[in-house]
Amino acid sequence: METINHKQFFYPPGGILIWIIILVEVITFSAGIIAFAWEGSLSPEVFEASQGMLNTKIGLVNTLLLLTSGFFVAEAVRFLKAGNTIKSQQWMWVAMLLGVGFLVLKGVEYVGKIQHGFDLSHNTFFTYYWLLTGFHFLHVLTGLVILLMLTLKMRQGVYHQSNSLDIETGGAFWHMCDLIWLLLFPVLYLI
Amino acid sequence: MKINNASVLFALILLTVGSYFFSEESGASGNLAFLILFVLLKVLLVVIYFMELKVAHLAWLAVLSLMLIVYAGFVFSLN
Repeated sequence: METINHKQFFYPPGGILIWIIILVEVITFSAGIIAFAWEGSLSPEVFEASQGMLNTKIGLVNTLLLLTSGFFVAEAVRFLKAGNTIKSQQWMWVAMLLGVGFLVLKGVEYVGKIQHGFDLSHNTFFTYYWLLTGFHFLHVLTGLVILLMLTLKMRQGVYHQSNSLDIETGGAFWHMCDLIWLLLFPVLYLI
Repeated sequence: MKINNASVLFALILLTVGSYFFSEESGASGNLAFLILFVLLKVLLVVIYFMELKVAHLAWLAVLSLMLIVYAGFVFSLN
């Protein structure tokens, strides 16, 4: 049985490496969002008109999909630590399904934007829109691959109650995708 | 009081739907402070409960909170 004391600075849940990655990612995306807001303050008319072209309902549903997916991953980690690997695997599959739902909806949104000519070079707003959401899309895709690999290994019996660190780490990466989207969604769609 | 993940998810959904309707009702500019506050609350709920920072060294939460304050400050001042 692992006896890690998470209260020690160098042993946060999921391991210190993933937390360093999370901090770097949050800083990077925050810098992008701040640059976006800065550009928006320079040309408010363009940004307001462009924001009006975004589908806020899709943005809302996508936020709810990611948050619910994060809940299932958190529960999967909890079940694994409690020794219930079957339930843990089931919750991981549900989380992945919701993640796929996010990507499909985002894809639908992307196709609509391209069809209307709102591509990367349309204006500054859409340059930032594509860069910020595109990088986030890639993170979600990577997160899904990580969750899939971990779940398949859990099925093989690699991960269990006394070996759950990798699942915690993968879960932390998935939650990071939540966090970044929580920062992106209001700035791109609502404010 | 023990807070479980389901109640955290419920709070997150309420805050998300709430911020959506706030911005739909009277435009974001009038509710900017509310929207940013909701973002901060949601991020903190995710990191404390889903990512289990509640059991980690307080410094991790402090660093993340500091980043969030910088993010919120810039977004607030630039809008």
